Amino acid sequence: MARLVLPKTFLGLPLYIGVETVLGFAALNKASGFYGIISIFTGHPIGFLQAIFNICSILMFPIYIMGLKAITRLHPESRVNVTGRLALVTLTYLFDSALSVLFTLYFAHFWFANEDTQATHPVTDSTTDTSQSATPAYELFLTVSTTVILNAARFYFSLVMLSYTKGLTKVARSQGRRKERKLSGKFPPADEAKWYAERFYQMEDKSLDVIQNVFKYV
Amino acid sequence: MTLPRALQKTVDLFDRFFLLEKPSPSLTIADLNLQFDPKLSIIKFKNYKFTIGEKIHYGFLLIVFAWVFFILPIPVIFRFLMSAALFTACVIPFTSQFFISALPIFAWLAFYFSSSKIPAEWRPRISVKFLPAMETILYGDNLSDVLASFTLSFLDVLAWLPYGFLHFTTPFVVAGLIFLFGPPTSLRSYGFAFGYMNLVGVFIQILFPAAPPWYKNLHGLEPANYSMDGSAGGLSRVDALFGVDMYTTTFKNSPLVFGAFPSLHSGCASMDALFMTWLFPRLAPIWWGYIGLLWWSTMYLTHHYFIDLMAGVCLSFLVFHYTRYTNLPVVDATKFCRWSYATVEWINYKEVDPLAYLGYGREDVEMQSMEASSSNPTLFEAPVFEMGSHIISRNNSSSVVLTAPAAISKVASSSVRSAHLLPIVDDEALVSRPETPSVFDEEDDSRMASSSSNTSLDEMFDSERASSSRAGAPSKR
Repeated sequence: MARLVLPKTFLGLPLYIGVETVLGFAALNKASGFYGIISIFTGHPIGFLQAIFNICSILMFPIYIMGLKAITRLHPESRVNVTGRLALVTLTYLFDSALSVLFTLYFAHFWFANEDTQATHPVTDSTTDTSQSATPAYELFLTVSTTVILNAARFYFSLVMLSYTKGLTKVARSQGRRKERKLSGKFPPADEAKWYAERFYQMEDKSLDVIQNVFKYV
Repeated sequence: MTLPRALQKTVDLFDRFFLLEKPSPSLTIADLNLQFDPKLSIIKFKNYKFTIGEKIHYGFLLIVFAWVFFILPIPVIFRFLMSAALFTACVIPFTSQFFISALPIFAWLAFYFSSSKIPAEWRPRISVKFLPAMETILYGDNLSDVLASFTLSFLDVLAWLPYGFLHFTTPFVVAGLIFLFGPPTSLRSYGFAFGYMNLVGVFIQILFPAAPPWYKNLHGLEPANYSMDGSAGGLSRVDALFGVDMYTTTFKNSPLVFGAFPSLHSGCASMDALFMTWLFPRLAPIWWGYIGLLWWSTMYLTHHYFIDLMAGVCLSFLVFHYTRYTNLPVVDATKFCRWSYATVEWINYKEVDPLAYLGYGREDVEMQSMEASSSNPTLFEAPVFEMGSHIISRNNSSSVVLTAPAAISKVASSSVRSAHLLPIVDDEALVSRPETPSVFDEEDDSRMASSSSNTSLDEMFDSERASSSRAGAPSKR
């Protein structure tokens, strides 16, 4: 089934270019979290779910940056060894996409319920020239269709990520090394300086397992 | 001819730091064309064979210039004078080497400043609510409101610096750095990318007119029209602070009042950052930190929604990567400056595709691996067991008789290390693993045969690698 659904190319280009683009866009968009959380300091009211959304963005940001760094190495041989990292990033992206659909629904509701008050207030100033302004119906259409298109694009992007990672896991040669580290549970002393290293490797291994298991069944 | 002393000193320093870098004095690849005779350009033009891409490129720019020529709001005589000046600059060999590459930038500037003359009846209707709506739906809140709800004089100046000042100066600095430290011809790519990104941006701004955040603050979500004046938004506070009218009048008469989407402030700055990251990757946090500051300032000064900034940076990202894979040379980290390069190389995007390199996706390889998986356990089915035996053999590496000692030392441990962000120190383990030194290596077959007495995992990996490399060989050549 995966064979039928997963794209072999990214709009006719090699998949790795697609992954670069997807991760680039994802990382850039996550910057919103940093600006959103500044609400705490500026005194702008912030809701609970908005805060959660911003925190999620901030947490995902470094993962995408790591993915980007891993993918943008030029030499093909060096990319083969980033399978675990790509698996983690892909899972993050899938989770992020699913979450964003839910958040989009909630925030759309939030916008139309609270902010979009114009529809109920007809223009009072009769001298205002409205012939050059978009009608509310047109703007509504634009908003809804853009939201749908962006989510469809995200879905396609998720498939691109999955397809690339599937390709990598199929030909992965680095995996023996990863597994070994997992089993022996030992880390070289130099890694101890980075407190997150061990945890991070475990997450990468786990992601690789998940991705491989998924592709075993589909 | 004797030069003034200060000038002579500068020339000497330039020679010492840059020109002496030349690998060979006879190399001309990095040299500038110092000829001034227009005849040379005309002869070159007559003999030049334009590719289809170049025809589209120059044809498109010609259309833009022709459009601007007819619509530009200045007397006809000045239009002719400006056209003549541009033409001359493109014909004299010395200036043409810069001006022809910068044509997309001139096209953008000309188009931008003439865009206010497009009749209002021709223009699409102005959208007022779309941007704040999308902003809230995609990012959970109106981020411009978030940042602009608390203002301070100090913050005003901090925001003005990147938005009102650095924005106009950085492109020149970046162009200078690319010229000095990038490989030859890379400045052309910068002109191409920067110009086209802005041209596309202005096209979108005209085809999709949308009101910036200051409009919502001044007029609410009321309908807009093209006779409305622009506003300097938060920059008027800077004017008040300095007591000089730098922005209030300028923005009032802005050629594109409803050009909020996409943000070309964000686009230009991120194009600079992308090129700087390409040239000096180690300083990437600085370049992108600057982008973060610029984004904050545009929202703080109520000139853009976050979604405009994203549209700008994504546009830059796409144009940059198109340029990178088509005409941007590869940076060699060991070279110091432009004059250090003996050759210029470009990326072949098909060759650097990791999956194609490994032979994935080709039908013959797929068939082979399917056949293999029917007889052997696949990578996914029982890796732990296989790995287990592998580990035992590795941990007792002293007792393991590796049958291919020649291959052992050839391990790309440096490339493996560079592929990770975190330091990986188990290279020792890697070194003990026999690895195929090159996919085209003659030893391949003999080593495969001999390593079969080793662990089953190696065998499995090697057979897969070998089969893929064989399939991959013709396409690489």
